[in-house]
Amino acid sequence: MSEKFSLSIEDLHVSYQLSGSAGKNKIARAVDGVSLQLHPGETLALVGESGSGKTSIANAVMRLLEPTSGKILLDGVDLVPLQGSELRAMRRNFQMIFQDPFESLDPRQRVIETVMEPLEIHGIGENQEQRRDLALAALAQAGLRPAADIGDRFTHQLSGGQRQRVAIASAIILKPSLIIADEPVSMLDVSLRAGILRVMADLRDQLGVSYLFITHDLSLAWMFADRIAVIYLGRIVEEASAVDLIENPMHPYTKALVSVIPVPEAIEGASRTILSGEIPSPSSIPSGCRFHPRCPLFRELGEPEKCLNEDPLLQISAKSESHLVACFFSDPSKGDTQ
Amino acid sequence: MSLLEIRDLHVSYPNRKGEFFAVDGVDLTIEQGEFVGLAGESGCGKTTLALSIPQLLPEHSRIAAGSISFNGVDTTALNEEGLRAIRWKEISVIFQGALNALNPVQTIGSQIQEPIRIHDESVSKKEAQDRTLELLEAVGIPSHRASDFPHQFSGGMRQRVMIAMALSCMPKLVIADEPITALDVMTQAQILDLLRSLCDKYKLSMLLISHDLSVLAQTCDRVAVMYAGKVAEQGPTSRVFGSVGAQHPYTQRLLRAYPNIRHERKFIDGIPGYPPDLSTLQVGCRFADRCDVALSRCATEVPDLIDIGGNQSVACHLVSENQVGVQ
Repeated sequence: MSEKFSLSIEDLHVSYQLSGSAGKNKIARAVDGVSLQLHPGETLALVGESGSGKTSIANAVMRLLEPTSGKILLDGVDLVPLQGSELRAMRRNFQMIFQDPFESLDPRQRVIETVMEPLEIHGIGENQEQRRDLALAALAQAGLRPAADIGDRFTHQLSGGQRQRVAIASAIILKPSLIIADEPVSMLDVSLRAGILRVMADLRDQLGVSYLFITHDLSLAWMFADRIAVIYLGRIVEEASAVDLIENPMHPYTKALVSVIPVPEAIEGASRTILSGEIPSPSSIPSGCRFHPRCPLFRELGEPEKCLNEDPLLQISAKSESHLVACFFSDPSKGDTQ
Repeated sequence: MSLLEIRDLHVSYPNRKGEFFAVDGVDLTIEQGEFVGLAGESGCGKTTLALSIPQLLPEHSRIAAGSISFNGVDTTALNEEGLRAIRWKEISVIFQGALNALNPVQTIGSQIQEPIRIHDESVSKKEAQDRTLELLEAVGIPSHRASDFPHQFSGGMRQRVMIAMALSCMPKLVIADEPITALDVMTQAQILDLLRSLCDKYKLSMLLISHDLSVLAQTCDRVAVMYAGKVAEQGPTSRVFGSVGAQHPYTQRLLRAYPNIRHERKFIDGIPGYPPDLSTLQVGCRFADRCDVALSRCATEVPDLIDIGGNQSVACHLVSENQVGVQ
């Protein structure tokens, strides 16, 4: 593949050894063979429930945890084997925005110091004066105006929305090619969410930054992202353009997720598929297709052997080359593959 | 007679200048068996309103004026003893963030049983045990798990335990304050479905608080939207989210703040500015300075909650002027 990707994750595995009496010698496979590609300037939403492995993927890309195996290519360079100064040098190219703007900033620091810090670490700017100007520009870009006034405050004096903007300013100041945003608006009041997402969208247009947008909220992913990948128990089960995924979900899990998206409309007898049970533990992944114990289609088809014994791979669906699905039976155009 | 009738309720908190009203003249009615949703941004008074019903308000706050008639009894006139007789038995609350409120060293079965025996001494231990097992099954937990401890349950299952506890004394009204906020999407759908079916099965009345209007649209019979301590709009779900649509500019803006997958894909809108600081004097419509269709009178005159037909009412000068025009 000669195509240039901003981020290319190849067959990523993240496993944890469980400790404690309950899980002795058990291995939790939090990420169990995930491949994802992100083009420059593109936004890919990674959507899943808690325990699906989406945050482990983010942490592996950020090198906050060591992958068990697989490659993480950033602008063509594999991050996994990098250590020390080599990794530090690469770090300016990928940044993260965390969910909780109250915990991710140091309350004893002035805003301007927080935003200047990455510049100092990476030795960017000739002097404090220049770094200060860069930081003020980043604050203004994140929609914090007047930047000088906000910069002088302590982070604890800011509202949640303002703090998340400070986090965005700190993330963009090094002009990264990739920003990982882990539920960036889920802690904010609904009236403030649009403002934060708008700033992120503007940065995408102005700086060409690509986003790995991690969320549990499928409708937000649909609105903000170009593509959506749905993750279940450490595996991508479906991937398509945002509009296609919502309009034509194929995997039974995605179908159920789409059917329960709350819509502010009174719809009589709207057919919702509420799955019973919960996502199993990554230390006891079901055999065959990992979704089969909760799958409505599996029951509807009379519990086919194939779902019990074989692990479906994420494959191009017959419908579209850009629509991938990991299910033996959800692709009607392929016919019965048994 | 309605099960709950709140009239002109004022609830105040003290501040340096004296006191301010977190709930400022609210009317709300809940019929028996009715599922009512209460929406609004954080700090708009939803929780204060809800907790004033069983009078579980924080210390120093007080009901300054108005009445709360529950089953024909004004709860604002009851003493502690009288209130104890209705809490849990008549009105129970599923508190926000209650997932972590379970006692970690007590089995969930005994935690559900406890209120039954405390609130009704005539219930024998055996009866309380039987009711506990029945409640567990009713909320979707296999009864053999009664002897398990909270840490053995997921967040969604713990919320089911909280619901079973709230139902343990067979109350007439259950108040659920953001019961699904910390849960996953599919678990949210499960819990809402459960609340709705319990409401229908036991003829319960339910007051569900959520900041998310779309959650209420799919679950409730009727919704009330609060803004800055007042009800901005209320009406049957079928009207507010259906045939007639939301009429108050605040409700409309709240709706535009969420993506709607049934419509064309477009960027969500925020609501500029912030809710007013209630500790300062409020004149006119409280939403006026964030409202893009405000009239000049909105800055000075407080709009009344006007019935626009079909049991839908709206507190907005623009809406009432258009109403007059139509009639």
